[in-house]
Amino acid sequence: MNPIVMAVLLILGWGLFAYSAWRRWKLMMVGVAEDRFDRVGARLGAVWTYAIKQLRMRRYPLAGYAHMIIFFGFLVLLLRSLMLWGRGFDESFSFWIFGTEQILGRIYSLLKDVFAVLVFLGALVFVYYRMIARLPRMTLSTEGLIIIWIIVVMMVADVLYDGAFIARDAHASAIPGVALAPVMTGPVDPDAFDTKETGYVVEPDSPLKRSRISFTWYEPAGSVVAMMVQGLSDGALNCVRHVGFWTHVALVLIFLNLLPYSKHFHVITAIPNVYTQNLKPPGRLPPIEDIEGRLEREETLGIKRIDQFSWKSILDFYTCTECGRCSDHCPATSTGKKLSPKHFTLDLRDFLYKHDKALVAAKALGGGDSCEGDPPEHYKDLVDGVIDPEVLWACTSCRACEQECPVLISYVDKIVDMRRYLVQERGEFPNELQTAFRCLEASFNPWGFPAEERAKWAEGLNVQTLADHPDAEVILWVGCAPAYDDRAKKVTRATAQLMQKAGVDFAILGTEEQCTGDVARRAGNEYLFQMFAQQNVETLNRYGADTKKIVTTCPHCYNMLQHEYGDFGGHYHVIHHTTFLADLLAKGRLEPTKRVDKKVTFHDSCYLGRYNDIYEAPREALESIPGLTLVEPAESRDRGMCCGAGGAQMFKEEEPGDQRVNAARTQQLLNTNPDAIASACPFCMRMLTDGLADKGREDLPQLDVAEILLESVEAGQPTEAHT
Amino acid sequence: MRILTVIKQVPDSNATIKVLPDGSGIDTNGLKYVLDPFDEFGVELGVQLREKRKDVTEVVALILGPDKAAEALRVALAMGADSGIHINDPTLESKNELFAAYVIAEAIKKDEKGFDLILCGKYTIDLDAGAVGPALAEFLDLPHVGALQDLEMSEDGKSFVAKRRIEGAEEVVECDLPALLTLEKGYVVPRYPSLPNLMKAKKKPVKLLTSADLAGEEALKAGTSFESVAPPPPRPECKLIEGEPEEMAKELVRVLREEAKVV
Repeated sequence: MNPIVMAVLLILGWGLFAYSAWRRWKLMMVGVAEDRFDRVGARLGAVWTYAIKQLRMRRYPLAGYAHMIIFFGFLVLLLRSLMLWGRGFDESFSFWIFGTEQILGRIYSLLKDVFAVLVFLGALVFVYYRMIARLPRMTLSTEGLIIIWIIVVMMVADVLYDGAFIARDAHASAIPGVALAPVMTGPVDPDAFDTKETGYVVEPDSPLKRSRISFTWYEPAGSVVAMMVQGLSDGALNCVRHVGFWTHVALVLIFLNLLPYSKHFHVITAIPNVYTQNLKPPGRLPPIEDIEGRLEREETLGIKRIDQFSWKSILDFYTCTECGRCSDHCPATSTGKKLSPKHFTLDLRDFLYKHDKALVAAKALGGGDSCEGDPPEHYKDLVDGVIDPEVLWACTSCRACEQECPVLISYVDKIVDMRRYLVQERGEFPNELQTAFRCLEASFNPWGFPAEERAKWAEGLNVQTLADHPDAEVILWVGCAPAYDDRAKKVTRATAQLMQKAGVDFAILGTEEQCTGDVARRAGNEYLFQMFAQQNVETLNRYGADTKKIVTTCPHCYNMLQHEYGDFGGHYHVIHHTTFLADLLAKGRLEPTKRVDKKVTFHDSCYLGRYNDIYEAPREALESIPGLTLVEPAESRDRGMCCGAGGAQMFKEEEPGDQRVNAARTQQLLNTNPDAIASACPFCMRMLTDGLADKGREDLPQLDVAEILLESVEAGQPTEAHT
Repeated sequence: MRILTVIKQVPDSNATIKVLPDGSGIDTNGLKYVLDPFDEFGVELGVQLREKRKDVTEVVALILGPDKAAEALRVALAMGADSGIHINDPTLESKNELFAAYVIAEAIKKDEKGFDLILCGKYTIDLDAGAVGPALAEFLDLPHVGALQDLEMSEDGKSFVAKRRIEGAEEVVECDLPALLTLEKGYVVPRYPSLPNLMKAKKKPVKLLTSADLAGEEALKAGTSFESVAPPPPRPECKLIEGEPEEMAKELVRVLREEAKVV
């Protein structure tokens, strides 16, 4: 081929790409520092699971497998592209060991041909999605389609190039005295051109002096194409060969240069993004350190400006593939709220790209607001400026988006970080939350029930407090809803009764317990949350809770105590009551004997399921009950839809939309046509009960796992520890 | 235009109030105190007026109460009041509203620049007396509009039109400044002070006075005197009648006739 053209193409292509990559790198470095390089083993493991095995991609099977084929095809064809660049200078270039006369070369050639065809088909799947099915979850951009067509054309070009090459060689070999094609390297060994070896059947007697080409195992696509084009003249074949070659080479370079400016940047950033993923418990919110100090230094609490995101968040923005799986499962999106996780990410990404030069320049100057008054455009307030507050307030923190994202982009932490700014700096938030904050401040629970009545639910149950019984093995952490809400109190009582029946030595904190602060934290009031965290950790540690077990019926309390109090010195072994009860059942300490002949469907709580991967325990507890049949809704376990209460939604009006989240979820559960709906979270319980009432199905029992279990466990002797 | 908002620190509305056994007062042990929610309306309106109007030069919050009343004053400052006046009175609990109004009036008279608009809550939620506002207006010889629900200031800032809901109607009042207004719930929504503003509130100027300096013995002679406080009688228990409708009806009639003796 033409070495000068190739050299120019390569220098131009790679030079431009290097410039783009450098710009993106500088832009990423505008973000706040964050350590995401610890635990190398776990990170490599994540790369294996999510980037190589592409576990998340396959949650949508057709797209998933098509994508996997393209991914592996890319790996295989990477070598091919390098080879073709080399052939620009020396047409026989095959990396010395990958020539088709060598065994390694033949294996590679086979692999390459197989993948060329597979990638072609895989890309057609996406052409189908984008042009025919026009999936609403996807951003149907021209750019996305261009890239897909580039892939399709690249595969066709590659195979055409090969086919034309083979056909031309066959012509050449059929004409006596003409040297064989220079694809072969090294000294020409006449034996190597045995027809069995090459598959080129030479018929010297043919009047056309042309060889017939047959199928070759190591060039399946190439030889088939060669058979199809063998009737062409040498000139035409040469033309096809050149067109195929240069199309492939040029498209690879064009593709490379489109990447940093398109959703296909993920081709480069996805593996680093997976490698630098959050290895802390999913959904755990990092604390704002030294709030008072930050206030004195006049540093922003939460995220106001784009450069206050960390570099990893910026990498998240780069990596979004616009596949829309996040929004496909978002309870806010699906009920018509303004929030779409995908658009949240894309809006921030687009803003970032739009101001990349200004941001990089400003960072070089120290990154401060240089002028008084209105900040420059690139440092403008993201809330209202880029993201509508309604978007932020519609999030239920259910993590369905994060569960789906194939490249492990996080959303909830970013949304909460922006709420933190809104609440703490601007003092702007839905008015109902003010009531909750004030009640929390005054009565240590978000409803404003009297703090001294926190243990009232236990009246008549003979439950001891830790003050009276500090040696108790288990602390029953009650939580606000289970302590005050009339419906949830029944669950707390049922749990306490079951624990008593099983002879568990437990006690409660009584009035010493306060809200964990989950509502305040998820609502963005980190300062208020930290007061609760410090107080509760102090109380728990005073009773040596780190050496005890803590059982709670509230998944929000569970998550907080288990994963988020560690930052405040509280390291506990926390057990959700469904897990605890399942364990008591397994050990035979509870025996469900009374038949409960009901078809029951179970609603997964987000903070139990997606946050803590607890799916089996509540089901095991339910299935241990004789007569009970468990039916699963189509949307269950990690695809279970949120009830609508999480992320402080419980304490505010739902954002405007076309449906209530709890109504949508209740309908999904009703679709199983159950006799009862089981749940394991006081917030879910309230939302589903309301959902049933809205649908006029108050007749349908909505029970906690503990309540159904208590119904089945025959009355036993109260435990000695509590008599 | 200078605006004064008169505020008080009161026990939180969600707190359970326990009366001391000897009836000398309430048990303040562990009691959570807040800025009175009605007084917050006054602070909010004052701050909103300053934000909206160029002619409002200052919003001052004035509190009468013991040392810890400074916390409530800080909230008012964090909400946006520019400066504070704290009249310290460690024994305010045992004094009456006329005394409070008298002392506050004296403090206002001592203020060199004077106030054009004084804002109070309709009442404070601790004693529900609703006397301080009107009494203060009397002591200062100012017009008083009570329990207003809407306020329209004239453009020149010299007068206003206020609306107040009365039984079955809405009264519209026009009045010149200076004046004293008390606020009903529902007109403004008090803001939640942001953290930076709470920090800034620490640095805002607060003038410290004591009620002893402001009022002589004669101030205590007027008005009511405190005798004792007692818990309300416990509510009688509910009686739930169960059974078939016919039986329930019969039982209801019997209970109304024989036990409640109303029919």
